Amino acid sequence: MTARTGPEAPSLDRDVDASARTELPAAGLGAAVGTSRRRVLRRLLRRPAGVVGIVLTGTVVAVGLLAPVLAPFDPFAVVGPSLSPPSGAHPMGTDALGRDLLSGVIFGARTTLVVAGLVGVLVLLIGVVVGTVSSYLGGWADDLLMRLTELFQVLPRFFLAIVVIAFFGAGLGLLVLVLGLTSWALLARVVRSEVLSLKEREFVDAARASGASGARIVVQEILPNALPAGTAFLGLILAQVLLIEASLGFIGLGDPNVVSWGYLASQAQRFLRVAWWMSVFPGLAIAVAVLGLNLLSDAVTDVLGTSR
Amino acid sequence: MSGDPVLSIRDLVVRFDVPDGTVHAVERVSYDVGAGETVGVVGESGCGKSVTVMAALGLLPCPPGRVVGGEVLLEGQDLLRLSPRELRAVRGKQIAMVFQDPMTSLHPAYTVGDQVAEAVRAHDAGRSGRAAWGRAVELLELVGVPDADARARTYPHQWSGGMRQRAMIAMAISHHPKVLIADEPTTALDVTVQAQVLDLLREVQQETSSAIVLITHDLGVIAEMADRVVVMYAGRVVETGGTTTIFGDARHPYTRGLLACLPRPELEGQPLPAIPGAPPNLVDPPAGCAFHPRCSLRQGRARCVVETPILADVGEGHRAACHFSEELARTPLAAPPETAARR
Amino acid sequence: MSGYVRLRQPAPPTEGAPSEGEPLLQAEDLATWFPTGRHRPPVRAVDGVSLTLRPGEALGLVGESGCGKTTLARSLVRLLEPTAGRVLFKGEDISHHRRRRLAAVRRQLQIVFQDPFASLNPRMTAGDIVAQPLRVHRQYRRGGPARVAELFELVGLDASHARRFPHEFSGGQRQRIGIARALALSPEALVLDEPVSSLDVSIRAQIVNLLDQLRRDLGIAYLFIAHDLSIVRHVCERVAVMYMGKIVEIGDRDAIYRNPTHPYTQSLLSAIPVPDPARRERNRIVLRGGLPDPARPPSGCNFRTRCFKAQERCAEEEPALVDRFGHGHPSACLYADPAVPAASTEPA
Repeated sequence: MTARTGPEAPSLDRDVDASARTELPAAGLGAAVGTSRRRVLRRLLRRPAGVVGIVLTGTVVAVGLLAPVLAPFDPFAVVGPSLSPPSGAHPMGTDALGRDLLSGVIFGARTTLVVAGLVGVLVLLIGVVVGTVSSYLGGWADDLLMRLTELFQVLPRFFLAIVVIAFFGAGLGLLVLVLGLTSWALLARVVRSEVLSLKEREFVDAARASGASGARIVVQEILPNALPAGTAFLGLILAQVLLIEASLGFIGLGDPNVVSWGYLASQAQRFLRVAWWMSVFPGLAIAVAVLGLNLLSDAVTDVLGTSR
Repeated sequence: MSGDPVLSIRDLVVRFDVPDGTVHAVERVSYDVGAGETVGVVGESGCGKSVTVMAALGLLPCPPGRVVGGEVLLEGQDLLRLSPRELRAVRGKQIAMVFQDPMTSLHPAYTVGDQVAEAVRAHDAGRSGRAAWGRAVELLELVGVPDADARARTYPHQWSGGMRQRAMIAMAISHHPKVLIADEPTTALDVTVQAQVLDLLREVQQETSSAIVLITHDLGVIAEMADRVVVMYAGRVVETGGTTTIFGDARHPYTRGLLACLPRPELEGQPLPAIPGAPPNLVDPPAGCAFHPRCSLRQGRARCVVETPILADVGEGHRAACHFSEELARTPLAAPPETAARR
Repeated sequence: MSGYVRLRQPAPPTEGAPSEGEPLLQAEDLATWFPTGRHRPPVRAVDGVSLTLRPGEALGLVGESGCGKTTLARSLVRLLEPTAGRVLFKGEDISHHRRRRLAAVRRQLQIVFQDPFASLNPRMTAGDIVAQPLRVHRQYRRGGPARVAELFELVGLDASHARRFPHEFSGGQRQRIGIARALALSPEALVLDEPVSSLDVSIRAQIVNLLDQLRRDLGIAYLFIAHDLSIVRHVCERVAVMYMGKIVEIGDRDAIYRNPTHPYTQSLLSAIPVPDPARRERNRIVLRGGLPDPARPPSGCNFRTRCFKAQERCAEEEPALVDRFGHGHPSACLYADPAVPAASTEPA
């Protein structure tokens, strides 16, 4: 009992919160229960983490999409003196070969977008299918798929990626494939636990009672309710993926044919003391993207009322 | 009621800030409870009956809750002006509470005896652990837990709902509180167990002569237990009076409607005289009398939409907040006027 | 109502004379047990229940939480797999039907759930929820939207609200949506699992009236499950009382309410708080203790541990649900009262 401090049992207060909540009129309750997409967005915009997350992530996406328009130069073209500090002509300075760093960072966003997008699709596909199938079927299928998931969860992704690249050579496609095939485990577990709780819900019983098939129940009743929580976790997973991608680039295992932030940072290694801008700007870009995804997925989790 | 009230809630106003605006959860609610008296507060969910006492005890989650005005006098001392520390000294000692769900009110990882002993020691730090345990077992025996010494060493999940509610009552009465607030204490229980718990509350009151505030939506429980009744609707008190008066001569159309729509053997084969519509959204309550969109008495009269009725005397210790309450004096209770049977 | 709603005209339910005819839904010695662990006996939620629902009638099923009434409801519509016994619908054994054959039965046998918040998918519009059974049974293509509008009207909802989401409705309205969904396929029998117990008093009466009206207009049979005995009395012509997985007494409404013969029914009736302060001092039977562990039921009669009439014989002999006195309603008590009005029953 010593663990619980305060002159009165905290359990009392806990219950108070609960009863006060149930007394809240429909306006408050409705918001907590089912929410349409527009409502989620509105509620996201009401919390700082949500706003910052949306702005940061949105910036990266926009810059990536508009890279050819925004970038003043070809990122691989030599356009100025080498190692010149930030100036009017080159706001982020130039690298050792005289390439414009701003253009590099802008095109790097595009690479980030491609990696995150493709890995995201793969992870979502595998994670949702594994999570749903395993929880909906249960029994030995569940056991088997969950052991597999655990295996992928403990897999050292970074080293695996290094080994694969060492064997097959660096390439963006390969990188996406490796990261996508190895990053779905967390999502599968989240989806599984969501589906497990959802399939006991009364509205699922109602669908069964009306004679609906298993496939229809999964697609119409369960997945639409499980996916929001899943997407929140997808953000976290992608943030990790971006870090791995950047780290690979940094140690020189990125695709040499595309500009990526990790590649830019790796170029900066030898000039850390003489050209701070070469490491700082790509580093900032990585931080912005990772932070944005993290904040966004935190805020989405918050809004949906699910806890980790 | 005789003498000064023990607990007196005066013009309490509570609001909630929610995404859609401000919820007017409690609007100038006043009621008193005297020693040894049971006041039943009745109303539907969202009418503010629980929020009122939560706010009175400083237990409202803030935000979104906000006490805007009023006072809560415990023997003349305004609880709303106390510091959180002073208030904690009052809660559990002078005012104790029993809640609806005895499962969530008990910590699953401690034995029930430990938790009752903790409640004993909370306001009596001088008592040794052993003495507190002894008192806990004594209290559990008092509330009718069989084999209390052994049962005290078991965990809440091993207790049935009725037994857990007994344990909660044991904790609540451990310091002979002046006021016992029971918020839907039997709603989660079965009728046969409910009868036991209500009996227990009655016994406890006889022993400690506490004032009891009994919050419930069940008019049957009110009729069995209360000396006086406070009827709440949409955050306001709409009628208050002695129990027999309220059940026999209600002067607010909402109270009448509530009583009339309970199934009775005489109504077999007929539709129940239901109150049409639903309680209002308190973010944007109806103008004038909040009950007017559902009222059978309004009959198109403009005053109900324009002017909010105040709680006015309609008889000995009987007050109702309706502009036309005197019209109900002439109508027998069994046949509420113009009840819309069905929407 | 347009001709699309198939109006059936079985004899409208009249006082005291439940319509006879082929049984619609039957349980025969139905048992549903839940395993609780390797070394524990199973919980016998439903343990040998036989009952019959006739076309057009309303049969009430009352009992306290944990007595197995919800499990029985779910076993009857095959949301749960019965452990033993049979469920018959129109004489056809449906206890082992696979999904496809079951779907045909489910067109005629639907269920309404207790919790109007949990039973509606928060991400579907009200219209889609009501239309779902039509889509499942491929009836939506022909006149689906019109049918949905008709159903909305039938349950007293504004058809223009079909595009709203469940959280935009109040509790009572949500329960109307649940009822509309259950009616979509024009079923002949509805299992109503505590359809009004989570609603506020003033809303409860509205829904009770709606259910009454629907039964009158559509001739649907109800298995109406509730713990509120006064509502069951209002809605149902026959009542079954359940305790620990078994039916302890069954009979016509008046027989049960005016002349309960089983001590459990008697105490249940006497424990309901009466909304009349003048009757506060009436004699009440207050039972001892709570429900025994359902995995380890007492020997003999389940109720004997709380019963005010228990004798030694009750621990040895399990009382059968039989009509001991020939006055029309069976009760499972060795010492059943032949005729004692509930109000004057004294605890022994």
